Amino acid sequence: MPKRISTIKPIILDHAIALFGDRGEEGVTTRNVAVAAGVTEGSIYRLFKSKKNLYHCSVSDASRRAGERLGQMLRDISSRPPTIPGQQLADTLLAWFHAFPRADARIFQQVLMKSCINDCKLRQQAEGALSEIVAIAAGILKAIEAPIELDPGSGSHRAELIVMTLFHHKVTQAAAQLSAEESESVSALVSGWVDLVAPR
Amino acid sequence: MPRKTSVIEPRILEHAILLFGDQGYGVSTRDIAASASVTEASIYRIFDTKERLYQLAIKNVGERAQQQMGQVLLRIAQLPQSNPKKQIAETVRGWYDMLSRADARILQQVLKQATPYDKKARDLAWAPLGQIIAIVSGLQNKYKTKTAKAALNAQLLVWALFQHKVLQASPQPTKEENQKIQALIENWIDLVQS
Repeated sequence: MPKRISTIKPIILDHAIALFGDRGEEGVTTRNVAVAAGVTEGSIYRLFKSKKNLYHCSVSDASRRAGERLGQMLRDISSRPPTIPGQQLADTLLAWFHAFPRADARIFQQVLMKSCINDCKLRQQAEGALSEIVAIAAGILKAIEAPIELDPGSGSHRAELIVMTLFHHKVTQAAAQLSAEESESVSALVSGWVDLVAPR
Repeated sequence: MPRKTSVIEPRILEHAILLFGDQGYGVSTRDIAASASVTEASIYRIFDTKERLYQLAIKNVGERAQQQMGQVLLRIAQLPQSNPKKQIAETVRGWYDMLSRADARILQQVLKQATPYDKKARDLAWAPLGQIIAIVSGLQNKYKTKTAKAALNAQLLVWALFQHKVLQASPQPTKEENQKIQALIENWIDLVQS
């Protein structure tokens, strides 16, 4: 008996993101996804019509998850007692990095690596996932530096340094799970950056 | 008449780098042959397998990156010592402009590779990036930055620029992208200087 759509759709998407993230759109067959998700290839075609559409849905789903994580992160920050702004900046960035699955980062990177000719909407979704955290970090930075007149672009340039660096580290992370060593070097990068942009 | 290996070998490699960089290992030897205007048979005659062609492409990119590092160092020596800000900005910019998008993408593919984990290839890809980080970190001594801190600062700039190169929209950067990179570099220097 075919399983319910509402149950298997998220499972298929989850496995599709993991596989596409690892091997790219061309390197994965719908059969691979079906096996990983424990469903039939027929179910995939019934739900997603084509591999291309499955890929698009995977990007959208990864982008939706990224948005949800950011929302949760912002709620967590505002519910905690206020800390020193530099600490808040470091906590925010590390929380973002740790909650970001490697497969999602890789799938965004694939989309960003393709030029806009084919699908601008997909690109916007992937860009959104990065530009939001840049904007959040730049916002906290602005609050810290309020007394100093900083030209408007420079806060986001500074935030971009750390976000792009962290994004690179996430994409090139050796395994799906972060190792202790990698985690340490990322923490050092974040606190080094915070010291640089918001010296205590 | 088959053309000489010495002539077509480098050409095949160049096209292989462009295509592997753009589309990853999934590219077919057929596509590479078409792009380099040679027969697929020539590719197999010279390189045996696609895997070996990919490995040679990596090796080629790694060596080119090493040579570029030599040019970066030469350039530093020619830049005025009296203006450290200009010296750092032009060094970083020179490195960034020399690195082609395809090369950056191949380096990143290697760094990303978890299975099979090829330590030799990873070290080869890491070396030029580690060197530019060390160079930029060294140039900050002029601002009396502590060594460990300078290394961290340099990593932030180099990784961010590297990621931008990988994601550059087309092989040639647009005017907008160029301005953005310049702004990132100058803003970073203002930061480390203060």
